[in-house]
Amino acid sequence: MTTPALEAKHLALAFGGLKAVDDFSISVPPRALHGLIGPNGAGKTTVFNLLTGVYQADQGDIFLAGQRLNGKKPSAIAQAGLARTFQNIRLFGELSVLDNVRTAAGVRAKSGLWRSLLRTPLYLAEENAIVERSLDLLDVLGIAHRAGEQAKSLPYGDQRRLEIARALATEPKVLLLDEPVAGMNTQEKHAMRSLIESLRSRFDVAIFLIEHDMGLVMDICEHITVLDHGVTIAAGVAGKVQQDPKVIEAYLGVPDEDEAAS
Amino acid sequence: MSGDPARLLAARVGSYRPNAIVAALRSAFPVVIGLVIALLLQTMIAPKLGPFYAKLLLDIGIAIVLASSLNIVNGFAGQFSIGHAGFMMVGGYAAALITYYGSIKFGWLAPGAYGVEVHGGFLGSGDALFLFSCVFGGVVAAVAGLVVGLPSLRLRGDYLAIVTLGFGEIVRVLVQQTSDVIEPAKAASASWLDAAKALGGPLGFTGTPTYVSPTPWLEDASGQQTGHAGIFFTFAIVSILLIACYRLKASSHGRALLAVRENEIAAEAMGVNTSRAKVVAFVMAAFFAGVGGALFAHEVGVTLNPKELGFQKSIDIVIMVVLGGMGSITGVVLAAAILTLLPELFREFAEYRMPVYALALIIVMIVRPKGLLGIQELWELHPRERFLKGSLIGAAVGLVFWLVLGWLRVGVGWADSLIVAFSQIGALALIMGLAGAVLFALMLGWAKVVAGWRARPSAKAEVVHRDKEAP
Repeated sequence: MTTPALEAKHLALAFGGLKAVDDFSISVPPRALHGLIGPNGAGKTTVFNLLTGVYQADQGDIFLAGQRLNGKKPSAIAQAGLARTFQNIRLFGELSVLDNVRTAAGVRAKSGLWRSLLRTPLYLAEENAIVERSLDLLDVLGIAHRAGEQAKSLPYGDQRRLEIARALATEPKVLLLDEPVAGMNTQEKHAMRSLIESLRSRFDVAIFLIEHDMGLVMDICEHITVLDHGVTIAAGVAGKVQQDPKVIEAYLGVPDEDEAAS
Repeated sequence: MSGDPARLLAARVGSYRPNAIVAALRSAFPVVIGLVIALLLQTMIAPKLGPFYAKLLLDIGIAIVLASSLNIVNGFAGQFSIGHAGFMMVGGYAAALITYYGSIKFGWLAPGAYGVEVHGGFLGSGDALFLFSCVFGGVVAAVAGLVVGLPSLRLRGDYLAIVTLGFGEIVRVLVQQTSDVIEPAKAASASWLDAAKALGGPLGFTGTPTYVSPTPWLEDASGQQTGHAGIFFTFAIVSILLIACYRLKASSHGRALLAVRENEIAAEAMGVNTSRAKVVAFVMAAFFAGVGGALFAHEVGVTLNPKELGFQKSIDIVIMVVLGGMGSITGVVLAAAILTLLPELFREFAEYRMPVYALALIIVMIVRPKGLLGIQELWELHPRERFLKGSLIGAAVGLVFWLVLGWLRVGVGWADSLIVAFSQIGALALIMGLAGAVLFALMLGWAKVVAGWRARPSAKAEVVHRDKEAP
């Protein structure tokens, strides 16, 4: 068996007395597309924050391609190859679209401050490569024609695309997408869906996504984990999860006898 | 825009690497240009300006050093520091310690020649000591920046501002506790430790050699050179700082700083080590503040004293950065120049100086809330047609002010100093407006201006692809 691109074992996190995430485990193989669903407040984004080091887990381990990530800073985790997008878009608003991607592409640059100030050949070569690669990424995401505009002036859908481009610029092994199609219309969703599917082979990246759009998740994800109140209530292939009574209960509530009891 | 996007960055770097010699020449070129400009200012411009305006030129240079260095922290990294005068003071006193006690101890300043430099001339022994003191002041200030920055840069916004404010006050109070400067005759035998304890206290560090004076190559009665090329040194440092700022802003490091300013969480998630980036910015800013302080300490007509470098000075520098546009190098340079000029030009109308100054600030903040240029540089402003029009309107308003108030003053004989002050502002607006108009017109190209005036193209007609040609 190959090493999973991303593996989490028995993650747990409590905010005071509230167990935000309890015993969360997942294993995402390379180039796989996994989904994480659950009702509002189930702890999905908290899981992402745990994986990316924004929160430190009380228990459990996280491995990225076999490398343990526990206790690392978010920037170190990003450099190790775990990139993410944000549910509430967090772009560098005043910077240009190109600069947003360049910032992410530049974090691996080897030339330090002195080389940058002196403009040595290595620095010039790196900056050139960064610009080229960033423009290519914008091209793939279909927003290259907006490269010079301010990020905050982009329409909503393009802002989501820019977030993905920026995350890809860090050359990740695993890409975490937090509600990539939230607020999009059917047409935009369709375009985003084929885009997400194409990214895997194109960038050799595994994708783990949170999404409320069931149609999208059921269609494209090979494996789905369902969270409710921080607890994993179901995990498996789309069809199986869909039929799981616990999942139906979490989303729709339990009929009759539960109401009678309360 | 072709090729396989999945190819990693490292693979691409190899494909483009310029010749080392060409790169070195290209790297040194702007510095050489800066030095030439500084030399021209010293030899051609300053003698024509006369002592008053040459001194103003020095003031402007030092203000640019201070404001641009603060711009690295406040503008690029978005960390609000209001203790910049503290770093300036650290650098200034460290440099003064070197030049005053140093020149006495090393025999470069004859004992008894209290505050009068004996060694002069361009790059004479005194100048070498002065340049060393600038670097030394910068390094000491940078160390202070590191000491303050390491623990406090985890704080954000108001909290960081309070810490930096506290730092400035601590330095001020510490300096005030020192004893009077040891006079030259005794200083030669005093130890460095005693010297460091005798920084003048509340009276100020008197007797520092005035290396930063606008009059070079002066000769005293015995034919010995006494003057110093202060304008050259100041503007050489200004150009090095500005080139460093520009290159920082254009590099991955600078973009990382801007990313921290725009969204710290996202910056961290994209692999930017935000605490390290902030400390680097803080130390770099402190270094150049220290250099600025060293220039200030040796400026002619200035006594280095703790009262002058207090909270008010920090706020003055912050205002320059905010007014020029946080993160805009050219904007901050402009603001530093204007804000140094304004109060000096209105020195005669002292009673109206502060209200007029405040009014000017309020107007700018209403018209352009992000400062003159926002985050952009002068050459990045779009659409240029609009800025051209704005400059012309500004010039026209200035002209009207100047004419009407001038008529009131001369024709009606209403010689109130407020009137004079406002007509001065009018004249300044006229000059700046015309300068801006010429600048934007040049950037647009004259032909396009004429065509644009007739056709009135939409603002978005110009597709911005400025970044593609960089670097």
